[in-house]
Amino acid sequence: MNEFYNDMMLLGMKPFTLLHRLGVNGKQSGSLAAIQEIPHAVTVMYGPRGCGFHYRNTVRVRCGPVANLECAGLADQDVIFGGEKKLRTVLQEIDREKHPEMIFILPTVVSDVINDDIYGIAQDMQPDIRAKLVVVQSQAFSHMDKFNSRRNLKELAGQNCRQKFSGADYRGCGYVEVMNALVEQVMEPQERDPLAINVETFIWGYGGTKKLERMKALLARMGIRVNAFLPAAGLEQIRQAPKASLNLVRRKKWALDMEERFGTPFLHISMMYQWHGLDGLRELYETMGEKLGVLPQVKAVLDAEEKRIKPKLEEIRSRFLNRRFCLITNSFSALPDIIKCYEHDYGIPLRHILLIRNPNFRRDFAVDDAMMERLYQRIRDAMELYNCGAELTVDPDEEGLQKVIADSEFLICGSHPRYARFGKPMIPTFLDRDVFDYDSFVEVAADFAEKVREAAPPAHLLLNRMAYDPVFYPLRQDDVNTQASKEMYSRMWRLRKR
Amino acid sequence: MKPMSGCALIGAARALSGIRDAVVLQHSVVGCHWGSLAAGMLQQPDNFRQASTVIYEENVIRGGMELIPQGLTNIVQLYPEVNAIFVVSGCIPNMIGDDVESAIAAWQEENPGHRVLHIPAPGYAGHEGDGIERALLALLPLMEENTQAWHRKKTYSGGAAVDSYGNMVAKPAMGAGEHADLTNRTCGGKETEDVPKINLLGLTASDPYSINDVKYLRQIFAGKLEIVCALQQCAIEEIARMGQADLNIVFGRGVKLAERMQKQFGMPYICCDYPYGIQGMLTFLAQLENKLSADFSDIKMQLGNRADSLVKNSAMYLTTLYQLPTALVGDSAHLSGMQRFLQDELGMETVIALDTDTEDQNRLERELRQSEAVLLLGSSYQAELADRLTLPMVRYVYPVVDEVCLTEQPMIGAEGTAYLLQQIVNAAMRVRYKTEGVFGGLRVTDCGYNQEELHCDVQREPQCRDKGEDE
Repeated sequence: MNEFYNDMMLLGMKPFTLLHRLGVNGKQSGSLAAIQEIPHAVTVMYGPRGCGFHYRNTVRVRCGPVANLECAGLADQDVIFGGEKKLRTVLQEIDREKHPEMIFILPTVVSDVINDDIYGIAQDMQPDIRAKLVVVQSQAFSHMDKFNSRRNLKELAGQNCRQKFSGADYRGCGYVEVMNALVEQVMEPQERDPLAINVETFIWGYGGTKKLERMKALLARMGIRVNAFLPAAGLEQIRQAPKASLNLVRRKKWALDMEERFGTPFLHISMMYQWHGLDGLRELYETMGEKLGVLPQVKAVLDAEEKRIKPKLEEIRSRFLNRRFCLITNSFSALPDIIKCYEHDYGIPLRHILLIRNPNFRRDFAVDDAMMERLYQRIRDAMELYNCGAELTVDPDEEGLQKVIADSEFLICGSHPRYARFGKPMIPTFLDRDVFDYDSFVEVAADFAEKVREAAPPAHLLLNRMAYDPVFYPLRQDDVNTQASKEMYSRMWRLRKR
Repeated sequence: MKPMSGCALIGAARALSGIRDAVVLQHSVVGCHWGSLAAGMLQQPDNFRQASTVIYEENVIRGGMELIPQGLTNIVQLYPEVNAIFVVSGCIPNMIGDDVESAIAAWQEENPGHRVLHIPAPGYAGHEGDGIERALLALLPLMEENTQAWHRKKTYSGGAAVDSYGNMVAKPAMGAGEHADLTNRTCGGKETEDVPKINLLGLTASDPYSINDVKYLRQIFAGKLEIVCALQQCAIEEIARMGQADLNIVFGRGVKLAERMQKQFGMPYICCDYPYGIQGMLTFLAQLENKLSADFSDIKMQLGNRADSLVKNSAMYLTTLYQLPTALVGDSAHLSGMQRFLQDELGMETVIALDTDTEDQNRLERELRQSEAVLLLGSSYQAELADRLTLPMVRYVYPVVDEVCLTEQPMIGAEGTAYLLQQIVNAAMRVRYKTEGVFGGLRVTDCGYNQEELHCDVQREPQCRDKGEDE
């Protein structure tokens, strides 16, 4: 089974990309994503029945609907007098009837307003409850503040195209709130294992389990042990997480907390594709080796691995020579890294880059002229740095689009179906295929090379009958109401308090 | 508790989601918007007419009133053909004391000519069914004006006729502005004026198959009966004309609206089981014949013929299903109709039948564990439970979030009967049963215990994991 394609299919069947065009879910969905990774855990949603109902159909849980979600069912009088009695009853029932190892208590907007002392109630009840009670505390009301994405873009625009981004603490993200609760309420001081690390199991892309399994195997060859995958661990493992001497994390707020409480340093992988390629792999493992004091061992393994895969990689790269690729993308901010990925890491010569922008990009992300220029400069710098001789075309009209595509043999544009109508072979992007070991790197390259063939593309694609939106797949251009609902969300939320 | 249905806000949003030229503005937090969209979107995935005011921290402190005019203004700017806006307010505005009515009134004063209706639906003050009832009641003002005008015209035109109950009534004036379309509408070749008219209450666009079902009903009623308004798929203009129908058909929900319409417009109503099965549809048609001057004898004959061919194809399965204990959950619009179908037509024994609006999934699980049920009919929310108890399962009721219907397949009538039967049989046939050997359950596992003894509701990893063997 190929976990990458399996994830792609099963998540693709869920309508969440479309939903994300129209809004975001409340932070409880992120909290549930974290808790679902923990075996023998039950969650109590401390809110009205509607929260306990609709959050079961949450975005990040692939198997959905969430099974182990209970609800306090706050009603009118609880809003007035407080819901403590109901919370106590439901916790006792769950502990008695379901025997979980941990019970997470998730606040909701209603409980945040009535402001019951959930933590105090849990502490009071803990001696009589067998399960470990963990109270997730609200860092923000309802969901994360919108300024995160703007701040990130601003910070990224200020960096040169080779710098690693490490902003974004995601305060108020439900996932992060759970991680903070684990650090503060479950983890306990431990004797440090100098060669053990914790690896955070969150958004490693499609095929994430396999990526981390292979990472673990590679680390083992360097003498580095994975102490715990977090939060995908049981109670005891989480309790002992401070044994590790390093955290490898995707979200840094909890790692900062753990550093402060237990002195555990961390390495932040904020944008995976910034760690792409052989140099990205080397930097990742060498940074870990340096922090753990085993750099020579790490270097030796990396040297051997590079030497081992190089002949195969060269053979694959040779298949890309003299072919004409056109990269089509919507992303300003990631384009420098995408250019590196193709030109430098895989040796894929880009003849054209088509940048099809979100027409409201500047408005939605509060981008002024100076910032816009910096973003363009990053792209130009990357093209120069990685010897990319592509012609960059921004927002072409139909004639310009036709011309560029006519001059290309292959279109690299992910699964966006809009470009299938041009009858050119389409190749998925690498963006979701960042990997963390050498065999996987070669496999991804080989998979790409396999698609570089001159087979006639399908001539009667049903999806060509649809006029998809150029930027906001899977919206259709003629679905005016859905387009309006998308714009409503921008106006009511993203553009508020600029 | 583990609720099997949502809150009043989700119910209200659902009830209004089938109105093609209206927009729902949720005055609430963004999670409510997402949650109500996500649970029903697979049934109507290409036409979203819902937005949120996105109440946030600052609104809890300073109030969220300012968001309402912003939302309303944006809606009239963005949605090309909006004939009504429904503001559904949730928990937080109710808790912080937002005066939503005043905010709407002030906006309307500055923006005359827009229909805006408010449905207060704090989630802690009612379940999904309550929200549906509240939203349906809120439609009444849309009917009142039109219905009063219609009655005035009846009086002035003097064009009296005998209605389906034998009462003298007048017909709307032909060619009059707001009813002009009626003159052009035909119903299977007949002018729609000639046939009795009904409204269908209780279904929503997010109910699985409900849109196909109403298409099916319009087909079989062609020339005999006009559905003025089916709330799972309609326009404001059809709602406005609801008062002109001869009869309201209530499927579980919408009783309050039907009562009000009876009081205000003198329109009778009948409560019907959702017409699952052959006999279910025959009974439904008989109820209509009984109340209206309609004759469905040809359809009833066709149904009888279709039943014969269905039995021929499925004889083997029918005998297997006969007397099998089964469990059923559903909302008040669907539960009784499905229970009757399973018992009366398939001869199954429904050992559990729980209403999702009022019952709890934990109770369902307790009862399932103690029951003999070998089949479960419900929603996607019961799928995990069915998996755990190795029960074949059929999804027939909201929310269905892990199955789509891309065809025009109805769930009612002869076609629906065959389809339901097919779903039940296929669900049973797909179960991977006794794959470890017929007597595999007698073996002691490698980990030295029998998994059955766990009896824990929490999804446990295999025991070998607990012993650290995966490390």
